[in-house]
Amino acid sequence: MRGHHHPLLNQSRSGPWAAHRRLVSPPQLTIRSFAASCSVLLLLGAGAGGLLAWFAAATQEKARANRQAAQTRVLRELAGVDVDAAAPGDVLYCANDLVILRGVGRGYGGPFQLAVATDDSGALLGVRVLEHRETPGFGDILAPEAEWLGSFQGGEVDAVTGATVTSTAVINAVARLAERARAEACGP
Amino acid sequence: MSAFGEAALRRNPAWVQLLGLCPLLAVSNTVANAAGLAVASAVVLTGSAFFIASVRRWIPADVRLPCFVLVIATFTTLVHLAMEAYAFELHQRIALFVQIVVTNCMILGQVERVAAKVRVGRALVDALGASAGFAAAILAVGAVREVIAVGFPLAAMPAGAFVIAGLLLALANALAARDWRFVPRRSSARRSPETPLERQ
Repeated sequence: MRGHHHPLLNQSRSGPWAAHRRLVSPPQLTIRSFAASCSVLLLLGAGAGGLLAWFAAATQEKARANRQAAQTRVLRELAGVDVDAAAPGDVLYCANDLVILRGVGRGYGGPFQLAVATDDSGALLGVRVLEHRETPGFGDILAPEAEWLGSFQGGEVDAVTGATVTSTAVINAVARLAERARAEACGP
Repeated sequence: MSAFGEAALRRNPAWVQLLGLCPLLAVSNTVANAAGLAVASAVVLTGSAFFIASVRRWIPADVRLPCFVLVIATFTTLVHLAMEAYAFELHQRIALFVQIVVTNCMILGQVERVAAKVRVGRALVDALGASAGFAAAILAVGAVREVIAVGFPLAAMPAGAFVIAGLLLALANALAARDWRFVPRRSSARRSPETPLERQ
């Protein structure tokens, strides 16, 4: 394109807009400029990747602790007992009249983690979703303040329009976990 | 007008350029959320502008946009990770919108139009001005929505965001159209009472 003169554009290489023009109209592509572009992009990408890897490793512990603290808070709301969300295993709490089980389901955005609390007769006391990757907006029904999770206590749960996959996955996961909680034998 | 004021007021990203409207509407339901996103955008905007202005002579013109996006994405991810570690409550509420700061035209526009062409100091001042302008806009929408939502819940919903942001845009345009030069009014004592109208 160099040397070609457009009748309507001022393409002079001097004047107040010369610097701007040099930026917006790329120079002729040569092996040299191609190699330069590639190496700049490569260097920048490598630098960014290294920086992010270091920073992610540096903040990883703190972020995990935050997540677990938030889950512990959610579990306390669920059943009124202190449960350590960082503890390994699926049976988070098991006493004579309360079982808290943790499990996973497969939602629209990937696996999600949930916890159910049941009493000794196997009746559901509550359901909480601990971690999920559902589409924002559609995943809002999984928040405790949305009251959809509260409908599990009544035994009658409707799938949610627009979030069929998400709500069906939660219903199936809760049914499976409740079944397991009934089989869980602990306490007298 | 100073370079800072120029960037913050006369070229306000939200009210004049109408850029960055997605976070302006989506995250302005409370002042706290708005402040969180304003800070995140300011860090990404200023950091990217500073970095790009300081390395601009080594960025080839034909790959400048990939370079800019790479830098902006890096800063956004840094802010996102830092937020997850040090401001977890806020992270849980606005994490999605912090992630999509990458695609905010306000930031790419600022970098392409200003930071890629001027010296580091000027780029920094301009980016800080633009950040302040955006923060003022989103905090204004957030404050108005939060106050009105007390008695009128529509304001907290997305539809309310459009209405209130539109009204504030009209207000900003009205204020911008005013002549702000100070003109002292002539005192009445010096005015001659012998005007033809008063004699009649």
